[in-house]
Amino acid sequence: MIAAAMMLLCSCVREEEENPTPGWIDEETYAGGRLGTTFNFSASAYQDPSPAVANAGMVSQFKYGEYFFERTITQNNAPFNGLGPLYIRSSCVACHPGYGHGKRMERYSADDWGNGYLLVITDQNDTYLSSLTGMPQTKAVAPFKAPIDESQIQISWLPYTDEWGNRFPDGEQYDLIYPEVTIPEQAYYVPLQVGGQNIPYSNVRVRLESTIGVYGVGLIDAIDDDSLKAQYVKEEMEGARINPAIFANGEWVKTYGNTDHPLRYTYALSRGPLQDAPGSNAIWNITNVTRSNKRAHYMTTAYATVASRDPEVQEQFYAYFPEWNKTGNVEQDIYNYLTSTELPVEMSDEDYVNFMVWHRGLAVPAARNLSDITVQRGRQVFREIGCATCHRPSWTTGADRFTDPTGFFADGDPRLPRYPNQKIWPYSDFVQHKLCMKNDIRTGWCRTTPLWGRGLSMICTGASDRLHDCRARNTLEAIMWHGAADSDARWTVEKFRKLNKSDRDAVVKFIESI
Amino acid sequence: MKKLSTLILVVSVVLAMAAGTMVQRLFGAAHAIEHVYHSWWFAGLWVLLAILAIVALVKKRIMKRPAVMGIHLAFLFILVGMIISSFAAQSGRITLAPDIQASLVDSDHGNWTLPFSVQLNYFEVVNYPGTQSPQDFVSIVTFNRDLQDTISMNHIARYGGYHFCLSGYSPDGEVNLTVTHDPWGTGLNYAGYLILLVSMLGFFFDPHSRFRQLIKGGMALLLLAISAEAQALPRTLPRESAERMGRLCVNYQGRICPVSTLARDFTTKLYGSPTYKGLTSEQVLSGWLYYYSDWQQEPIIKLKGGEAVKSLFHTSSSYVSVNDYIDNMGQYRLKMLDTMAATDPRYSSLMAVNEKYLLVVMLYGGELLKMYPIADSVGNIGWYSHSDPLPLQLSDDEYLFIRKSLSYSQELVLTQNYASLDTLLEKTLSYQKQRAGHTLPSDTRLMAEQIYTSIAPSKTVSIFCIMAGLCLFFLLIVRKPSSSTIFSRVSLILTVLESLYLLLLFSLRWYVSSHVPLSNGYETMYFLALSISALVLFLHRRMPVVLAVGPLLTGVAMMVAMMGNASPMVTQLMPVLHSPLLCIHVATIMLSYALLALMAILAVSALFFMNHLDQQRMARTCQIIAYPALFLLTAGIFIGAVWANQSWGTYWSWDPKEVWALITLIVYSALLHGRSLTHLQHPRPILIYSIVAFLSVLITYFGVNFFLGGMHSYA
Repeated sequence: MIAAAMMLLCSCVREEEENPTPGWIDEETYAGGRLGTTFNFSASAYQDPSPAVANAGMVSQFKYGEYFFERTITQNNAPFNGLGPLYIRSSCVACHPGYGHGKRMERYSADDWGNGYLLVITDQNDTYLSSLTGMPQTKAVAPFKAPIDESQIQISWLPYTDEWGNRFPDGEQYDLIYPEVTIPEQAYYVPLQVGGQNIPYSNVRVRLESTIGVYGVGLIDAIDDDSLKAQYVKEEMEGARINPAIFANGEWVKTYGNTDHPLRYTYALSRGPLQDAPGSNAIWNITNVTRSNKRAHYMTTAYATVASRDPEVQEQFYAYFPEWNKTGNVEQDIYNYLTSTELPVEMSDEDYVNFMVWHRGLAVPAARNLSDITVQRGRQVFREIGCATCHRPSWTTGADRFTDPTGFFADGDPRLPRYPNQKIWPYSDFVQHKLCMKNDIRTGWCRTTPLWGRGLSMICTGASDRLHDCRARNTLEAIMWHGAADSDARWTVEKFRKLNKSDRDAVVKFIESI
Repeated sequence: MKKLSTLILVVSVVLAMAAGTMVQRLFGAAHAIEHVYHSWWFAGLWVLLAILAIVALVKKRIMKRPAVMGIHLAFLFILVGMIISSFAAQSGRITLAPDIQASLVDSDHGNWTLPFSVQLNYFEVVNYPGTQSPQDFVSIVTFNRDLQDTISMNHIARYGGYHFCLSGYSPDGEVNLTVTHDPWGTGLNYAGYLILLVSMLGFFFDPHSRFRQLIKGGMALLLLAISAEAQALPRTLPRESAERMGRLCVNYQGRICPVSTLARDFTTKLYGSPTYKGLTSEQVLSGWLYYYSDWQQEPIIKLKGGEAVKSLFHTSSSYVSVNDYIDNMGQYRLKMLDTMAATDPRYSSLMAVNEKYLLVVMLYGGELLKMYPIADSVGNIGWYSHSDPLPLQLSDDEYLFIRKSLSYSQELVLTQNYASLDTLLEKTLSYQKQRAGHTLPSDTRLMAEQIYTSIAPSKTVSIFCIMAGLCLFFLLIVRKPSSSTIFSRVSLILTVLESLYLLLLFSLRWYVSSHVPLSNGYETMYFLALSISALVLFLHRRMPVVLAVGPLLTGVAMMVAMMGNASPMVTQLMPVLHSPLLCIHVATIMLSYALLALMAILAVSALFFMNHLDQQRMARTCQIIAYPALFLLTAGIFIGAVWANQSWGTYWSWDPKEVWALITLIVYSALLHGRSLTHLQHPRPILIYSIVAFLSVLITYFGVNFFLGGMHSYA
């Protein structure tokens, strides 16, 4: 098995190190392979159905599925109903402006267009607060109150000076900023608890995590589990620092849920196969839309307890929810409603299938300008100085016999589009590394984010902020945030610093062209 | 003695105003208004001047010439109105919170209370379609719990003699209004304008006036440095493919027209000319569409607004690229427009600069590419772009065809497979014909529009006409008309050609738009050009002298139309700048400046190249031209005042450009008072004065833009 992986790995590495053949431009231009690339470079570039969708005759499903992503969910406008009774955003697209990465925000307001931030609220040991949902809600429908009053959330952007004084040897300067988020104690409606035990307010930490683009996730799902493992094996053998909670000594330490499938999605690598990954969960927990296999609210019991005892909620509850007047004890009825696991289904199975056709069917924009000499120079330097170590240029997908840990879809279910045997160019190893930034991401481990399509961000979303909390306002800042003393990318950033200005610019231009 | 003191007074007023503009430059507008324009001594000067003028007019029995008397009476009304405005007008700011009655006005001179209440019912920032950039700020208010009105950028509200004009808003939905109360001042001013207009028209018909021979014009060309850089052009489609694309239909500004029309407007709007370095406008549009990364760094966008705007872009060049709109931090440089700075007239030019960027955004957003007709269940045709949410009932094939159209064509462009691209464009055209049915303009109409677009006048054509007109003017005026039959013939031929050309344009435009093309300043100006050349053809046998001025004047009219249309209404944007009054305001003043420039040129040529007799002839010509020039200037200024009153709530703001236009008016009016100013009865003084006076035009036109600033700095 390992031998096979090694062989695959070797062929892969050799492929990467070969001098570009005359056909390489054509090959790499199709960033999502022949089945997963769109050539739409306009503002809707991230929103196109892939050729695989058309080939499989799933255009209708894609079209209907798209509605669920774009439409605003309301309480009772079926089939786009949900929000019960707490929610994070009222639509998917609210967090993914133009289907892309969230924008940097000066304040946290769920209704601000392009705000892709989720609050990450933990104790001092990076353990999530158990009284809040992992993705905390700041919106509620009457008569309920949000777990956090978002108007009290403060985001301040502070300047950061790196050890080089934010300056290249040739004098060019750059600026770095990072966010400091505070939520005053009185903004919390629920008690502050970890593992059900109250913790002092002074132990609470708040950070931000932004959405990334949703296009191309189907292609990532099509990468074989074994190929991912081979990448871990390779990096481990090369002595790279690997998150011991995920992988150690040539074997997985943790796989997704009770499956043996590797983790491949989210910064925290919390998700495995796409069919039970961020998208399929978000339509439930961001907008709180129930479906046949998720008939409970995304909510904590701590919240249910507080809300059911709130006299103001009690007073109005029956007016809003007469059908839940079941026991005559309003506190009990509220609690039962909030914690019910047999809520009415809001999203039909058919709609969910359509939604997943759309989700799996989003194409990746083709790479632009690979025939440009500067871009080619940037591409070469990108590989030479080591960026490509983690931002692995290409993968070849497997047979794409995808699975669904929830069992809703069968393995390789014919209702969803597939991407077998495609050479794709995501520029990520899908492994976690540490950048050791100031006010870093929770745990410090962060999966390498794919770079494909990001150069179109300005056109598609009106912003091109990068990194997990959008602290980098341009590509250069993003690169320099990789350069902390104990960062895994330190050696590459050191080489980057030594480049002359035109080579640095070429690297940036290349990154913005893929 | 009295004459001398009048003269001294006039000079003092002019100097005071010139000084005022400097004070404004150095210490700010509020300071200038308080210490100069609204001071007692300044008003005193004007009152004295008015008294002396009245005495002189009575003495000269001006009552016998009603038109002349009317003009002077009108100025008296305006003066009294302005004095009342500056001392009696109330103004201040009122802050409205949603659904709360307010009446307290906050002003620099203490608070005062409105005699009625104002309540904000609704406030909305209206964005440009498909963008997050504000286009207008609309609030709906109720006065006295009774009357509802809307206040937006180009629309003030009036109630009980009070004007309410939007001046700011806060993110929590509070709205700030500027309140002005000046019923008497404004009323007297408007009465003045009315009398002025009637009297000037009367003067035109006055048999004793020399006005009938007076329509002569010209324009000093502000030569544009054409930098022909040998720089690589950004990539685009081959001309033929781009042309084929131009033949497709698009729903543009609610009208179905060929893409070539959109392309022409797009290019003109960005660059100020319908072609770019030898590329057709179709090539420019398709270049933007398919080679964004090339075009985004191309400095094709013409900046308006002088140094202030350039400094925002950290450039000294007049052309910037789309990339230049974004700073190194990825921030939009004109972000301040997101606040109510947008309603501050001083930022008007930034709105236009912003609009050019948004045009590109709208191209990528698909708002400009609504090329796919889809019928709804009752047969109404809607036009969609590849990025619009498409109706659910659409068949899968059509959905895919529309949705992926840009991707297909981009892939073909990237692989340079132009043959297939042409096939795709043909297919798209037949799809349009099949689906849009009768709502599509006929082939002949589409072709007529394409012809119109391709021959529509450009700067080059207008410049050529003006140049040819100028040459002929000198050749025919400087020599005696009778001795230059060859030139007369050339002029006649040119006029015939111009007439035919303009007639063709007029008919095509009429046919294409299905309305008489006299609906806006641009169209009227072309009609004027056509009328002038037709008039020349009609009159030249009896009055050969018209051959000398006809081609020049036609060229000038075309140029003015061009300038008015340098920013075609590609979007329904810029409410403040797209009022028809503004169009007329600009056109009249431009025409007036053109005439004043002509006077200066005539004067220079006469002084240096002519004998005494011809100098006499030229001096008279100058005096003659001064009439229409000054009438147009006067009308232009007051049309501007009416427009400002409608848009900003005040008719006169002592803006440097306004002040200098007034100075220009006063300076030139000397030429119209030759009977009183005996020195200005001899040829040489008249010629010299025509040259020196032109300095005031130069300061008004250039000086204000570059040194004095103010809210006209974009003009």
